[in-house]
Amino acid sequence: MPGAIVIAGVESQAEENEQLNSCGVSSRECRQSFLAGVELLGQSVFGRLIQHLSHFSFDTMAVFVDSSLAHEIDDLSGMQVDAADVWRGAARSLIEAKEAGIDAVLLAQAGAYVEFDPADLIRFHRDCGNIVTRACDDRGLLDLWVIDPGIVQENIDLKSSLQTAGRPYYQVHGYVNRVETLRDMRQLVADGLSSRCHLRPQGVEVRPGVWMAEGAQVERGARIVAPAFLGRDVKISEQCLITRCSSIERNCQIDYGTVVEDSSILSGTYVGIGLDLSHCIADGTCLVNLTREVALEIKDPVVMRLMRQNKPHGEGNRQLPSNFRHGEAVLSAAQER
Amino acid sequence: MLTSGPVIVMQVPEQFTGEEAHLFMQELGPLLESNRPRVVLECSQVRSMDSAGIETLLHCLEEALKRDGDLKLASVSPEAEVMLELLRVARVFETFSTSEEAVRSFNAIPADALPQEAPWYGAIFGDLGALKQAS
Repeated sequence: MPGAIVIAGVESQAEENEQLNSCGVSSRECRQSFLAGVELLGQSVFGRLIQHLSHFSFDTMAVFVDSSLAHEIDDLSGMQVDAADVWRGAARSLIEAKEAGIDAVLLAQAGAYVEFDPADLIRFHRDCGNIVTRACDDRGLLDLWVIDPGIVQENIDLKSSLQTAGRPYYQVHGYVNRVETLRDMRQLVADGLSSRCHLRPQGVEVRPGVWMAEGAQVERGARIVAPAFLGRDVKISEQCLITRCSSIERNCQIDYGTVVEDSSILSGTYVGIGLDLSHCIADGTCLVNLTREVALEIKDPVVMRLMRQNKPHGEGNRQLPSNFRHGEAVLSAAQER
Repeated sequence: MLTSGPVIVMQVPEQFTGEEAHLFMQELGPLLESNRPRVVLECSQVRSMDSAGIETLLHCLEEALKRDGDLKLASVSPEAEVMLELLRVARVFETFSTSEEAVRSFNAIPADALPQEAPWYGAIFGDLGALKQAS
């Protein structure tokens, strides 16, 4: 009788590097932002994780969201927003699972996009007779555990306890993208559109490799060259060209004659007339060029702007975390790799 | 014989937007009114540039070209480079990695100053002309 807990918090994984070495992994920087909350190909990595887990027959499933991230998540129904500590919420939930007689609880911290079979992970945990089993891939440890709730005591420091959990690790053989940098984000979009992983765009494949969500409009003379994704209520004006694994997320408008190539336009962004976006991530007034590793604030509304509030939670219509403007924070991890 | 004066090298301000761009134009404008103005704009300090900044660069280039001169960019910062590419004007400007290189490019000997030798086909056509006359 397994249960599942998903937590979304801004955490650092740098402290785990010592353990990562046992799995042959290079060092990583702190995770400084919640890129897993950014909508990609119509749904965030966090949303996809919850959806993935909900397809398995878990008896209970609890989701804890750090209050600082709540505004970045579209639909909070059924989730518990915890201002203090999502880990404490998870510990409470484990104790409840213990009282309910649940023998294994899968705990996932939203961050990386991991393709794994929860049933196989729980089977491995049971077969090994572990108290805690942690997942890893070729690059190192993942924020994915199976815990025997029987060991959980009141006032346990769950986070520290899980980080000290040792071997054997469960090896994930499926696709993994840690979504730690903007470059990772773009890679995930490209991999999804190129079918290199199971991440599917949220829409209909109108032509091979061209995905369109409900309400997306493409004006006469505009060209969408596969692979590409157009999100819900997107408007592509005349003479535009969208190509090379580009994704135009919900409520965006790409104006006359603009070319979007190998780029992601995050939801609610207006992109002006006659522009050339290559190897970029655009979010409202912010533009990150991944080739030149530069982040710019575009103050000219004719060039780029945020169209409207596209989130129900008021604040935070910008998808990228606020620290990304100092691009280095989000870009440098990729640079150092 | 070339009649142009020295090459003018100017630093583009860090914030090359709206008012700053206007002030820059006021400063550079009179220099562009000379005969064959040769200008190098050093862009290493540029951190922010908007459509007004791009407009100013294009206007300066136009003024220089009208007077048979040229305007070149040097040490273009990544930020400026991204904006030039975004607004599709990157290919309009000749760019160099340093100001010195850009200045040197002005001093290259122009094609019309090279000694004009008879073209390789001159002899052939010369002979053909003689044959034609003979026939």
